[in-house]
Amino acid sequence: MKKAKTKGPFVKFITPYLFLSPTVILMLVLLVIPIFLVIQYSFFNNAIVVKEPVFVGFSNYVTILTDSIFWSAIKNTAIFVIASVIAHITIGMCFALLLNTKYFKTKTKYIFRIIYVLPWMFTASVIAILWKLMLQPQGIINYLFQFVNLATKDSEWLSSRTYALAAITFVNIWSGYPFYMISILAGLQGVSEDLYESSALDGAGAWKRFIYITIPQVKPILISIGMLDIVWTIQSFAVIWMLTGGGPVRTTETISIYIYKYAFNSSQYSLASTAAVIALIVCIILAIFYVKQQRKARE
Amino acid sequence: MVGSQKKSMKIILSIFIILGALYAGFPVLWMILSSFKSNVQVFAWPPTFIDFSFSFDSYIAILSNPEKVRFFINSYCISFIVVALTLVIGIMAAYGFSRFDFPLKGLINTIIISVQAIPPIVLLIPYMSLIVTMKLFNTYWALILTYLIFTLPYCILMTTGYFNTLSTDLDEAVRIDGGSRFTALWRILVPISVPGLVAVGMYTFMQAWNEYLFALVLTKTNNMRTVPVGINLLMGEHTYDWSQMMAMSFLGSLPVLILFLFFQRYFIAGMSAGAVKG
Amino acid sequence: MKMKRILAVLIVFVMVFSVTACGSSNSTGTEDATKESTTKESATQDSTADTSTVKDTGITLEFQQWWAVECPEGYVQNICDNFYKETGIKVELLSAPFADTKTQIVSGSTTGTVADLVSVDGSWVYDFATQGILTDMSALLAADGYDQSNINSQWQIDDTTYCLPVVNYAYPMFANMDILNDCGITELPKTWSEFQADCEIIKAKGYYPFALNLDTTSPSGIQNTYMGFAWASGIGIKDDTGAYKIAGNEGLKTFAEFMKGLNDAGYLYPGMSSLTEADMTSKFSSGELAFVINSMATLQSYRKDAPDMNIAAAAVPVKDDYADKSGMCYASWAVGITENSEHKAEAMKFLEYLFNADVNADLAVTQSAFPGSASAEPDYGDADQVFLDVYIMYQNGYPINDFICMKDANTFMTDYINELIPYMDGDVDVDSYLQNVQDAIDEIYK
Repeated sequence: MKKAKTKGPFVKFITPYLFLSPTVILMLVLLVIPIFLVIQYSFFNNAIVVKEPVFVGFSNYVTILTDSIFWSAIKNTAIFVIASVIAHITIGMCFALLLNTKYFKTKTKYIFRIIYVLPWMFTASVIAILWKLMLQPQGIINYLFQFVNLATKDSEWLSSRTYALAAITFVNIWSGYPFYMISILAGLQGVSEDLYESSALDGAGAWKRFIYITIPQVKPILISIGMLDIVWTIQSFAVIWMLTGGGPVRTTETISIYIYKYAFNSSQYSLASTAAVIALIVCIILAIFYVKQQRKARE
Repeated sequence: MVGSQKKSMKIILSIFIILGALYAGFPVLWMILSSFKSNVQVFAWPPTFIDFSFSFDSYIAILSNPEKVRFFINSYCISFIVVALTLVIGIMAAYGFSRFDFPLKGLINTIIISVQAIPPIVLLIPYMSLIVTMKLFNTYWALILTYLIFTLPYCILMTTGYFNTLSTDLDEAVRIDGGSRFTALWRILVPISVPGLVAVGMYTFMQAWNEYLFALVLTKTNNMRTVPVGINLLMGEHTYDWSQMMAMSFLGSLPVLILFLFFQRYFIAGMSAGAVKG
Repeated sequence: MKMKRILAVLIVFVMVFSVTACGSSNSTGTEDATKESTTKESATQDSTADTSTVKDTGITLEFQQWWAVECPEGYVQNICDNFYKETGIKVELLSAPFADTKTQIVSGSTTGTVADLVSVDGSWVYDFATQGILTDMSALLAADGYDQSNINSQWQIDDTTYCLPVVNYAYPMFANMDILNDCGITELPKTWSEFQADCEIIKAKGYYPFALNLDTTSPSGIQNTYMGFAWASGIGIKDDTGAYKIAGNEGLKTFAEFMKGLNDAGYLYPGMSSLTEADMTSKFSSGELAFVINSMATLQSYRKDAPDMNIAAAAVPVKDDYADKSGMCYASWAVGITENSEHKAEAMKFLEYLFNADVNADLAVTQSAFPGSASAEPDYGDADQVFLDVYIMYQNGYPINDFICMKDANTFMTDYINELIPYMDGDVDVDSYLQNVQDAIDEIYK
């Protein structure tokens, strides 16, 4: 690293790669190799299950893409992802701003920051059983909703074909927003008071300050975490699986549940891999857009 | 006039912050309350809030069982090492992305983001073969490496975004003074970015602490198992031990809360930014 | 500057903490490893330390199971220790949660890390056998010359044995007698119409009469509760030739209509499509449910969670005109030996040890189960009266479970539930419901 001072052309060329090398090596060895294998499985029949699988070309892709359950899984995933990400951003932003206002004492903010970050503290299975306990008929949610006439003792949420998807989305929003909140809160620390003060002198209102100062400042962070959140929510599995198992009658079957059922219920790894590769392609397209946007932002 | 406006604003915000706290905290409160109940009371109707037979039985049962305490030790070790490694490796990569332009930048960036799209359940078997080939099966390193590749992308993206908001004049200044790029990164950029790094650290810790699937398949003996596996072991074939499950998750989250309490000082508005830009 | 110092201190703190913590735990890790290697390599040294007369063989078998979690603490380990004393073969227990044992076995066997012995649920056998995870046990049994008449049943696929059920659990109907007394019901219902009449009274009193657990995370409710109810009246999903006959099956049709009738009348616990077996057990313990069909193993948790509750075992009500023997759903703790195992013969020995008359009988008594070994004569003298009643019912009827060894059993059970719910909700008629289930099974066996 010390040679960077000499600034030879080769050193100049190699420096960024040196900074990136640990990351790149880890990713290449631990993720790219297994992913390459997954892509390979998707072109074979009965991968993993039999010793010598047969090459079948794109026939797995045809099977998956013509499966109506796959498309309903795509639809469920789309609803789940879009609703989750929008709600995450909104709630995360609101809470971060609330925790960043000057109206509260530092101590108050300390306490509320702790409370607000609580949903983040638990493993997926705990989130699932906790909400299952609360949302069951005769659970605490129905008990509390009774008083405002929103539910009865026997109201169904997770077991209702109408509400199940909304219910799992709600749980996912609850367990995911602290990630945004903390990231945005961290981003807000970079917003200089001077900027606010100068605009306050210009007589800008709270809303205008939010739009013209806060948003541009946290925008790079918002876009980054939004991108990651989309990718994560697409493949989010554990909470949904443990809450509903994709039911009732496939109303909460997202793409990850669909893949799991192929892989571990019917041992069709080839088909599971195929569906996973399709999800990968979608995310690569999203990632390309993201990288382009990043480049534009820098220029 | 301005004073009363400020007052009403404060009242409105107070209502919001309390409502928000209910939304965030009530389920957790319910969990803590449930951990003190017996299995039957967990299901009682109408639900009881505070139970008269208030008992620490489930906490005692967990803390007096060396096997379960071991789960906690494993989880702490793995999570802390992952946080340290993620931060070091991620910060370097973020510096590379933020301060350089180089031919493969876009490609590497795309790969780092999109590889996360493969559901872990599909990766499980090829990934596990890799770990077994590397002779890391049933060791801490199997889990540490796994969590590292899960948490690095967020660390890199977040820190890059953070570094991007900091002017390059800062590191130029260091280099004019004769410092290397390394000095610029660790002496100037990193200290300024502490709030962001705290967020990354917390995220990383939570991720490593809470992961279940890989923790289950990459280890097999109980002395290597982590807390989430321990919690799931309480879910029997026909019955769950509800109060122990709740107690165990609460115990697991406590240290993280304490750490967060400690790191909170870095979230005081304007502190870092004022120091830099002023 | 101050900030930097704080940060540095913190990083050091974290590093030191993790390193010390890991140091201590790693040392126990290596200790375990060295212990293992000593038993493997220097057998003589170990046997001198051992008080038993049998020489240490240096072999360690791994046993992947969920039993240790279910049994009293240390019980299963004790069996292994006794086995070691007799044979000098060590058995190491590997525990995973029941729901994920399948995942662990599948991923372990493709990467060569699977245990020597695995405990298997009836619905996994076919998959494991056809994927070559389980080894051909018929050959092992024959090579060993073991008296196979001691084994009550063998799980076979194409006439080859892959698993032996060590103990069996019956699925009787449990009745909460406190609720029934409160409702003035003195006699347990014997037929469908008596059951319906009782449900009406129970519901009027504000209790929930019965529950169907149709959650698809673990789709066993369709087998244990739904079909468990049907099997009692001799109604099944197979015809006399053993072929799957669901569409046009008159018995199943009447049964489906009977169940829908219970649902329409509001006798079934709400939220059945996300009700798990564990939920159902807890709801029965908390005194909300009058009747449940559940594993005999749950009796212990009822006794533990609700020690004052009066529980009775009821025969599952049968169709009004049915006079034949009743089938009773059962599930098993079965064990198979993996193809990966390097010590198949020794693994077989351990399995045979589990069929030892005393070991098997004691396990059965401890777990309120029925022995899988023919020579076992469990002493149920101290057993719960409820259990003894079920034992009589079990002996008067016959054990049945069509889903054991079925191809893609989990997929089929999920499909079955997914077709049943729209029918229960009144979205499809009974014939198309049964036809859809038939299509699902035909698709699997095509």
